[in-house]
Amino acid sequence: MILKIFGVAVVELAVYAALRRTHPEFAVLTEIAAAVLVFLFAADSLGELKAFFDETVSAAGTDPVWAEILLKVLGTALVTQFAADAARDNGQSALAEKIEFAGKLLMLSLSLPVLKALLQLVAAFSNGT
Amino acid sequence: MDIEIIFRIAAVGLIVAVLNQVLSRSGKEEYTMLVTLAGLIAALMLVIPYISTLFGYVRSVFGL
Repeated sequence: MILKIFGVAVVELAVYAALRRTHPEFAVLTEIAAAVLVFLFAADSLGELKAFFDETVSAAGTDPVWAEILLKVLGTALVTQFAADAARDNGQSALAEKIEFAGKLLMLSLSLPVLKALLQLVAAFSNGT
Repeated sequence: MDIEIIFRIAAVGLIVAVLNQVLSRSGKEEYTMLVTLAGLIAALMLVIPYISTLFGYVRSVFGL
């Protein structure tokens, strides 16, 4: 599988170099297509990881809401990284910063319930002593 | 789900390059921009299904 990913990367670099001078917009598109392809190759094994993750979470017996939030934050981080790198690679560093800032805001808002629960826990402790 | 999408986009790029050459040689420079835009849209139409499958997959795994 890694050989496939390596193959896609090498071919894409060659095509990108060829197209960069005459038509940079098509070069960018091949770059995005290659990024998507590489991730799709890697995504096959993602399903098993998710099944294992669900198993361990249910075995641990904790409230599945936390695992859900964890996965959501992970997913947002992944997609934000994907978009920001694509933008930064083509010289749009300002756009990349904005994408990352929006991603951070989303992740923070997603993890709000966790922070609340933590604060309640701390408050309960301080009342106890 | 394979590597030929990169070749397809490269092919669209090359076709647009050739067409632009032909157009500029025959004196119709104003059409080169249109041909480039058409090529760009065609290439986008090729990439978007791949991106949608990827995001569908991410949505299903991460529950976004």
